Amino acid sequence: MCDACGCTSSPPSQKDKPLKLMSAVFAANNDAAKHNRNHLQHHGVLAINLMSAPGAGKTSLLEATIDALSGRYRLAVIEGDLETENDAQRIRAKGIPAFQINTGSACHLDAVMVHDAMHHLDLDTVDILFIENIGNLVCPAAYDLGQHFNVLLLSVTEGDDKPAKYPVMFRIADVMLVSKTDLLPYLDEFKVERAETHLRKLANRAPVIPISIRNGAGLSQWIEWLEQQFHSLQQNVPALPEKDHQHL
Amino acid sequence: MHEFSVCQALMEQVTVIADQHPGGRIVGIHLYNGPLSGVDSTLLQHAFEFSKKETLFADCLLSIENHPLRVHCRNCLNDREIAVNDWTCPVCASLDTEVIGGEELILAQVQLDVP
Ligand SMILES: Nc1nc2c(ncn2[C@@H]2O[C@H](COP(=O)(O)OP(=O)(O)O)[C@@H](O)[C@H]2O)c(=O)[nH]1
Ligand SMILES: [Mg+2]
Ligand SMILES: [Zn+2]
Ligand SMILES: [Zn+2]
Ligand SMILES: [Zn+2]
Repeated sequence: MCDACGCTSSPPSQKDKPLKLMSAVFAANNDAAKHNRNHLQHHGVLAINLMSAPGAGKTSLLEATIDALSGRYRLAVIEGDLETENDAQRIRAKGIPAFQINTGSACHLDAVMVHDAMHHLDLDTVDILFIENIGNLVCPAAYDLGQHFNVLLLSVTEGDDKPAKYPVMFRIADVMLVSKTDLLPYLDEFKVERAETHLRKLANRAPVIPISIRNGAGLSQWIEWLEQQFHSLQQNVPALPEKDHQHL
Repeated sequence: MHEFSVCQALMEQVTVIADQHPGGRIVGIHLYNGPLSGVDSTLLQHAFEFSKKETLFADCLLSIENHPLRVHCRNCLNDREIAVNDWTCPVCASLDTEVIGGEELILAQVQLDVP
């Protein structure tokens, strides 16, 4: 038994003997995500991973969310999206701590990047941590960051069939926000019900909330969802004492 | 696309394994990939061919076996293969289905040429 690689055969003595492994290629990221989750649990922090195509309105949603929650909850933001380099500044302008991850040309955040960012924030003073992922409907789906919930924004200027085109992403949505609904009167082709039907075909029962930052539609429903998740986390998962912290 | 970082992770994983078998030349890697892994087999294959030059993997063949998406229906209890964007049970038309295969990206086998 070769315990280093977990294969059940002894090290090969013959030529070309295959080592049967069956290990996940994403194992390293998944371990780091688990580590992040332990941190969050220890500090009693709810972590939300915001994902969407570029420009669907993630940063605008964060600004509106901060306006609705600050004073009542202690918030922090990890910014990954480089679509606009000043996303972190937009958040800090509202008096909320924000750490900008410099991903260069990366197309997704991974758990190690988020771990590093978490250690730049004082989690003891945070109730809800938002992670704005990179605007991309493909890669971020494959990388668990240690978040509790995935929030997906689908703007009405995109197609209502996006959930059918990007099932790997939409199947993991814990809530789908249909954004920019103030523009619906100009966009005959987009039907919220159709977007929802495509989501349901992925056996996903997540709530679908149409929202607009411009006219405030749906924001109270979104805030209500968020508060509910925070309170059930507080009730169900008492903060754990942090064990010897093995850094990654 | 992130297939280059996936390729990097794969090569690191295989290097650790090869180090346990000194003198072994890495000649083959076999993966299983499901449609929900988030990784495109063709792009990963390209990333590998591009990255392997002048490395430990120069002589290594990567083969990727695409696995189907399968669901279990909680309503009629059948297991079926389904299309990636419609998980309706083909037997009873229920949407109370759960994925039982197709999320995986698995390093199934490594082939070492040991002198
Ligand atoms: N009409 C309209 N525009 C919006 C809404 N939310 C965001 N936007 C605009 O969409 C653009 C991209 O928004 P941003 O929040 O930076 O998107 P991000 O890339 O997902 O963070 C900006 O010009 C916003 O003003 C909305 O509810 N309605
Ligand atoms: Mg942004
Ligand atoms: Zn840590
Ligand atoms: Zn990518
Ligand atoms: Zn059925």
